[in-house]
Amino acid sequence: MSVISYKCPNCGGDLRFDPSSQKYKCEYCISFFSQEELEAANPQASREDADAPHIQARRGGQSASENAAKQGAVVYSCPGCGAEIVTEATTAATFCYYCHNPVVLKGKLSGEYEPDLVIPFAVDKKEAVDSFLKYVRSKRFVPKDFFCKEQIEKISGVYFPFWIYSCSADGRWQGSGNQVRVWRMGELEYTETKVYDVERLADLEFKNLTRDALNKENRQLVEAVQPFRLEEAKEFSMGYLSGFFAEKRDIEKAEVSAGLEQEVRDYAEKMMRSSVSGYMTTQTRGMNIRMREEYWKYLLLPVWVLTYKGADGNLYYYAMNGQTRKVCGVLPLDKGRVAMLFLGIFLPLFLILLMGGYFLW
Amino acid sequence: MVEREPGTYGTGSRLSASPGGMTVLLRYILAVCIALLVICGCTLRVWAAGYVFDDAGLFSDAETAQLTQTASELEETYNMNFLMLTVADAQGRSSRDAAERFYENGGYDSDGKNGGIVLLIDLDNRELNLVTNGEMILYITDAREESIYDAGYAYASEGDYGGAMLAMLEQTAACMKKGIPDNQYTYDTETGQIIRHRSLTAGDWLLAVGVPLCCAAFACVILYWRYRRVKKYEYSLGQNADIRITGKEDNLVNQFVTHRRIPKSPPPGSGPGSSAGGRSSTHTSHGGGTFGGGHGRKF
Repeated sequence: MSVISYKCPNCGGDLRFDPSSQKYKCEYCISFFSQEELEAANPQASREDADAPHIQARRGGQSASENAAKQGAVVYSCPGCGAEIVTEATTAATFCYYCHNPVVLKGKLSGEYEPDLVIPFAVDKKEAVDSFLKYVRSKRFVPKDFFCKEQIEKISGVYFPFWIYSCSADGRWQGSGNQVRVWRMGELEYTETKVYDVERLADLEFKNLTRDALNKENRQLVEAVQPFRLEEAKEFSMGYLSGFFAEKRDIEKAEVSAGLEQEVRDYAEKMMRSSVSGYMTTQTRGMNIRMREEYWKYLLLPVWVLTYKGADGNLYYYAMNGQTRKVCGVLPLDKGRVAMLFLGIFLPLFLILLMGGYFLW
Repeated sequence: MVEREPGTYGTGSRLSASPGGMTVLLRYILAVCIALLVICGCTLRVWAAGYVFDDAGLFSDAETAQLTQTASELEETYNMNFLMLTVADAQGRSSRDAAERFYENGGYDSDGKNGGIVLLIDLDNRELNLVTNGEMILYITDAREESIYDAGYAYASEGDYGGAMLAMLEQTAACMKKGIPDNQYTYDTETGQIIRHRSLTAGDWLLAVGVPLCCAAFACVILYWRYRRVKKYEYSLGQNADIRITGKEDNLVNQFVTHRRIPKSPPPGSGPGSSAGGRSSTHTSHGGGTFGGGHGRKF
């Protein structure tokens, strides 16, 4: 297993992926490099084998490492300063706690764990902070001054692992449909009901059903910031992770396939049933779906995450789509403003209805 | 020698004192008589200024007492006059006119009360009648007036005038208990002017409190839901899924016809709440006052 730190060909400084320019940026000499230039300049730059003395995935030997390993953590050595980097078992990219250099733990995302695709961050940290502030300030019932910029600036960009499922299927829907005709003759009203056996055969195609592939507490939030523009996904390259955190998957395809197939069946029934027209009511009697082709992709999606300690002492978790800026999370409510809203609706309506009761009805 | 016996002296003395004592005694008796007369006079005046004015002598003492008690209770509750009048000789006047004159001449229209009613049994015109004044006009609509005549008519036809008056008074009390009808309006029969009575019923209050309460609570719940819940991502079928129908079959398997008789709609105005229900017709009396009622019913 190896640790990668991308170096600037001009000054040797650390390179980070810059979402604004979609290039690699040196923070020291303010140089920008494309993906091709990066690969040309860093064929093995800062890349060492695990056997090298300062790059080790140590899972034993030292007491600190032992303790960390027992807690599911993994210890690496920073290629920049040689300090130990303690990470969780699923962490694939992080920062050195001492020299703050971005490091990519390549071994976590190689072999079967190498993602097929990645959507690079399109929103940088400053934009993310601004967008988040704009979002919370647009919420009029959040307590005033609840969010302070200093805390929001601790927002982190994380690549989360996702499964993407696409498939094509043959479907057969069987049911019954009713046609009703009503007419009047004299004092009688006649109702004619025609009952039909209905069958539909269809070719169905479903694209980009997603499942979070990481079992973490903020999973619900990370899923909620979807959808991503998946057509903008790129071939995976380690370089995109430089300057961000990244997680590797801990949920396998087999664990999510049953749920996804059931979801496809539900959607298929809904689509085939809605394709039946000309009937007042329809009822499903039976349905068969045969999967023809299935495609699975493993990809990393960009999400800005923020853990915020509110003025009320509670912890609030937020996630922002690193591509579309969609924000999800629980917002605190200002009780005084909610009371004002209540009165603002109650009192005018009360007076209007009271006046209406007195003068009109 | 003249010797006075103490007893003689004493007797003489008593005798000499006797005319003064008699005077005092007589004065006492006179004062008591005057007091009794005053008390009786007052009682008589109170009686005259009471609730039952049986000029035709139709009621027994017991009936009079019962009517008086009921009327006094109603007066206390509503602060209105509840007067019962019987007439043997209307002196050529109509029943309505007789009742109105009685009310106005008695000063009831200016006694500080909210209004009043005169229930009348007129033997001269063989008619039951009633007139209302002030706020009582709002309570006793034309329809309610008829219900009061209905209550007393059967008794009056059989000559039970005490029963008739009691029934009319009790029906009046029942109408008062119901309050002013929601759709009440006052119709001036002489000018055609309509004045709608405006008031807030319990239903109005319930609506005025209940609807805003529900709306405000609903807005707060929606707000809470939007701020405190994370909305789940939903897969867009329109953008990500496609369907192409390759086979289509529709076979008729059953057909049947049922019929029903179309219910006839009721004639217009026959339903509850027709416009005449809340009307109180009013007119102007000879004395210039505004009175309701007065339609009367012959017996």
